[in-house]
Amino acid sequence: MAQSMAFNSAAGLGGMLKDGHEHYFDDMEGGAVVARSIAAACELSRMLASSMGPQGRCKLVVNHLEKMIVTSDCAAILKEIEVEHPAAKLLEKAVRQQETECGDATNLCLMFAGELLNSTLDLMRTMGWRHSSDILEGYHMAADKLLNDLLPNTCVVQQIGHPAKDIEGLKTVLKPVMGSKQHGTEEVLADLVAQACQIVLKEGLVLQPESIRTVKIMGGNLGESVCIKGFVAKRAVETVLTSAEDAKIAVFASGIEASSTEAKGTVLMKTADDLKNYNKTEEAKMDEIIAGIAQSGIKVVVTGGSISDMALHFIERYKMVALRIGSKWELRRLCQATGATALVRLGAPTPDEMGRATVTQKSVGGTTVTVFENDAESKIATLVLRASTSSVLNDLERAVDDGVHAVEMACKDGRLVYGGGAAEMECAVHLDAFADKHPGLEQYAIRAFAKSLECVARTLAENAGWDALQVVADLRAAHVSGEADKGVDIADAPGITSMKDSAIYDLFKVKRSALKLGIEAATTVLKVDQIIMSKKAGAGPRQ
Amino acid sequence: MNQMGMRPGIIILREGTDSSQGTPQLVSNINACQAVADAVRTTLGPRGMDKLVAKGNNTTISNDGATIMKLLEIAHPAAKTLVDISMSQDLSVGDGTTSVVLLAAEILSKLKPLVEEGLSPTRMIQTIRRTGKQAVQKVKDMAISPDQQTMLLKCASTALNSKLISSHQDLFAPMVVSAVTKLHESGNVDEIADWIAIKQIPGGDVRSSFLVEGVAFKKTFSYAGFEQMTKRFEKPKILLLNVELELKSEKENAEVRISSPSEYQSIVDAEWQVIYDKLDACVASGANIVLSKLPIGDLATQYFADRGLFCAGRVVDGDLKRVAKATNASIQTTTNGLTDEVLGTCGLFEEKQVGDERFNLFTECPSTLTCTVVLRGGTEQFIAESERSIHDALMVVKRTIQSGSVVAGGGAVEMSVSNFLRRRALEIEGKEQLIVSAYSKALEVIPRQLCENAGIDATDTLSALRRKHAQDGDDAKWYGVNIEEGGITDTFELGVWEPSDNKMNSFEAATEAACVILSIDETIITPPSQDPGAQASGMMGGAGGPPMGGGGGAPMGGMMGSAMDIANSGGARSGQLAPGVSYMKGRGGG
Repeated sequence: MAQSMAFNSAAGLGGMLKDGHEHYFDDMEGGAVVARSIAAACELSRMLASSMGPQGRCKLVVNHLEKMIVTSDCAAILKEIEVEHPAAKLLEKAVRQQETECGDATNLCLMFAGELLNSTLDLMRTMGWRHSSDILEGYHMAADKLLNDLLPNTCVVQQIGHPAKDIEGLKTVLKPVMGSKQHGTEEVLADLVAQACQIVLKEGLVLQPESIRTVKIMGGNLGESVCIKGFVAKRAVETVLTSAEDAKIAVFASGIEASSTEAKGTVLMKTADDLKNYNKTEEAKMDEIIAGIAQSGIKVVVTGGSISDMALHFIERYKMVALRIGSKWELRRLCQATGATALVRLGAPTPDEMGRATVTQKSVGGTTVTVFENDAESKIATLVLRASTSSVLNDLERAVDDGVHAVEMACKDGRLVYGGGAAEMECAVHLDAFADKHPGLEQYAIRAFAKSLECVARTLAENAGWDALQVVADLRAAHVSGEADKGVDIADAPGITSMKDSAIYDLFKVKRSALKLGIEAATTVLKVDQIIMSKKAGAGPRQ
Repeated sequence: MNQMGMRPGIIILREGTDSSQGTPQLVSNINACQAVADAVRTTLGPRGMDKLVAKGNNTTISNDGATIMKLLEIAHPAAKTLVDISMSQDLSVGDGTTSVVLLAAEILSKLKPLVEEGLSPTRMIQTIRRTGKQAVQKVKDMAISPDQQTMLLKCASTALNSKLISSHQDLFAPMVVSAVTKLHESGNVDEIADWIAIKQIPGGDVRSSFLVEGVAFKKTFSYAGFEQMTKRFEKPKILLLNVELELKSEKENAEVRISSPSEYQSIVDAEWQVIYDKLDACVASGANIVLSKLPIGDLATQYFADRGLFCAGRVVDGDLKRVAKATNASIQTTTNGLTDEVLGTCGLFEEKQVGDERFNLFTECPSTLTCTVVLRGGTEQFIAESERSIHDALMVVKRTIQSGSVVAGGGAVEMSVSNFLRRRALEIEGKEQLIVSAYSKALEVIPRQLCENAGIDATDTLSALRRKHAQDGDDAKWYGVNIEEGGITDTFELGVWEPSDNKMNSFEAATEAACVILSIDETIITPPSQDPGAQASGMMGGAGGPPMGGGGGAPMGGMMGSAMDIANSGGARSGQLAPGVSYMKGRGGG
């Protein structure tokens, strides 16, 4: 409908919309809308392809706040670069979805979507820009076959138990995830994350990603990073006393100070005695409160607010340790780690409201931290990360985050497929066979779909510096002859190797979700035949 | 033009976004790093020159790499990585901040030809990471642990040697060592900045600087009656307060309402009573010295003076804490319930004239873990730089205590590692050989720069060193540059020692920084956002002048591009600095 109007006259659609809108349709100079959308989307995926896999390169992004980020994490890059083109944005949305759902394999999602669109472009060229519905139909069939049959039935090769029990399985999952972010350090990182997971994971439960925290301290190197069973606050204690062994802890959400009324009040004094005693009573009151806390056996006081000088004085006098934690989130984590309940009133906590931990103050690389270690059940583990530049540090944090998400997914579904492009190539080979049996125009689409799956192996090989064409050909040959475990060898020499022997596995659930979202994003782009953009609110240039 | 332009297929990022990629981008990043290294290159070593950085009204003269890098406000995103590593070296070791930057830049520049030849950077990263580990391991193997006292003294001398006050190291090195050793004995060596104070007194001679084993601070603002006070006590009792001893209203929101005029006097009396009660409590506690964070007024000063006490108000927080630590006193927020426990003591308290300032000194304290270094010197800048140097030396001594092992400086350890890696390289097959030998060659930058700064023929010295190390292997492992006489020598014999941690950390950090730069294959710069809040925060980086300046006319040839072009052409270094920074070098500047 809209299209026919646009054909009619220049005044057609343009006349109906507000000034400053933009409208793109098929007959415009420069090819069909779909072709140009595809070009934009492909551009984006090509840009990020070089960041794929363990040998992927980083991007240096300076965002609009002039913050500098060096990373190879696809989702992190996309978040900062502000994609504008609507079609490319669809892909970005898919990536974001993958990041929230699985936390990993975001680049796979983007790359596959881009590759699928690229194949479509070739296909449409040969088919003369028609039959796009046939192509879509073919894609749907291929996707259905891939996601519901090939991946779960043919590709799943191993199943690990729940990570709480299966430590080896846990490391198997973690290593490739870490390797693809921080190649060369995956052993150390995987160990750290595995340790942290061991602390917080309960059998049969799904890992809460928030329960693993990271504290970044500049200086030193990754090897000096440690996993701490409990909580680490990046600030020094307030008191002279700095440590307490297996201490009872009181956490106050409010500040420790004489409470003042919200309404403005004036202290009215009538006699000279009032004046003399005024300060003494305030002092006595604080003494009473702090003494009460001390008597209940509390050795460490943590507060979310400020500590008045007077309160600190009495805390010192009763030989307690006091710490301030500014952030509400941190305070909540501390409560989780020590088993304390945050109190809003000032006074001695009941035994259930107390936490327990060993508190020590340490200096790590010039930064003073306070460590709450809890030998008994701790619901929080903290990774203290060390690296010599802040950009490496931030990238390590992202890698840990991805690792933790991978463990979370592994808790839900422990099925594994081969990594290193092996699973995709296996599916491609099977899909080709599937296409051969299919009459009609869909056959071309299915074949193009199968071909797109090869992009994983190709990019991995390219990024590793190998001759990609040769590697893909070798790999294909291996898979056709039944060696399903062969993938790209990125570590040693150009060529292919057994993923089983190198123990490179990906989580089935993550891979399926990445491919599914990629396919959905690509097919959505293909369905677009017109782009209409209304004028941006406020942002446009004023005449 | 509209936001989207006419060809949506091309513009996928926000207008004004600048991106550059591929080998040229990497090469230009490497060039930028080199330019940054060039800025601090001449400060290395005992014969290194200082830099004068003028920023607003502040003038800083410094020889410390980290300080200079911090002041330069480097805007180039990749080159910022070098600032990071110099900071991290400063934080974790405290010295060697220039060498880490030089090393990182040199590794990159030695790899540059390989990048240009098209060697895969990912291969390089892997190889140099591995090589870096080997280098660190080699340092670890080479390090030796001699007698602690000599070790500390030599390390402190070496650290001070490269600074402005190098000619007075015989004075400062023992000072620094004794300060840190005291702190170490009490197990608080991590909190060096809290417990060792450095006080500056402009004027006088550097040689008249001294160390107080205890606490020293400048006489605080004095009130009437101050002159009558006793200025010297032996074994005094010390009371530390966080209380204001002045006649004033107790609380801001308190209001007194009286019903008859006769009551008026009683209120006034009560106010006096309140302060007298406090003063009485102080005197009754038996203290001889009263110090407070808050003011001690005329009345109180006079009152204490009459009773033979010494008092000082408005003592700086850090000083008061140090007094507490040294004398075992605890700071009181109230004068009620003072017991003997909260009082501290020391062997001797006195007020002394230093230069044209009077100083309060607390010495012979029961727990003498805190020390104060009192620095004298001609100009403010001179003392400021001296303070930084002392600080560096303190950190180095601390590091030495912690690591317990040393290596020889003067480029010796770098030459040894370089020699070791060169041999390793020859055993490697394929392209990695080139990478490892590039790394080994990069390590030579330290001795070369030492020579150049000292005016010694670098090429001759370096080849002599290389030969010595290659021929005699481990026997000659401590051969480095002899700065004093030229030529090569066993620097270990010469007493040029550095903590091994220092070197290990700088190798690690330099390797990591090189990896970060190499791993970048694309630089994308989003223009600063237009809302005013963001603009204000954007001022800190200042990557490209006015926020929309680069994006307005030529989106692609924007800010980043031009900075890179400059770096590429190897011309003016101002390309790496924030806009408006001028750069002068040598004698001809002006």
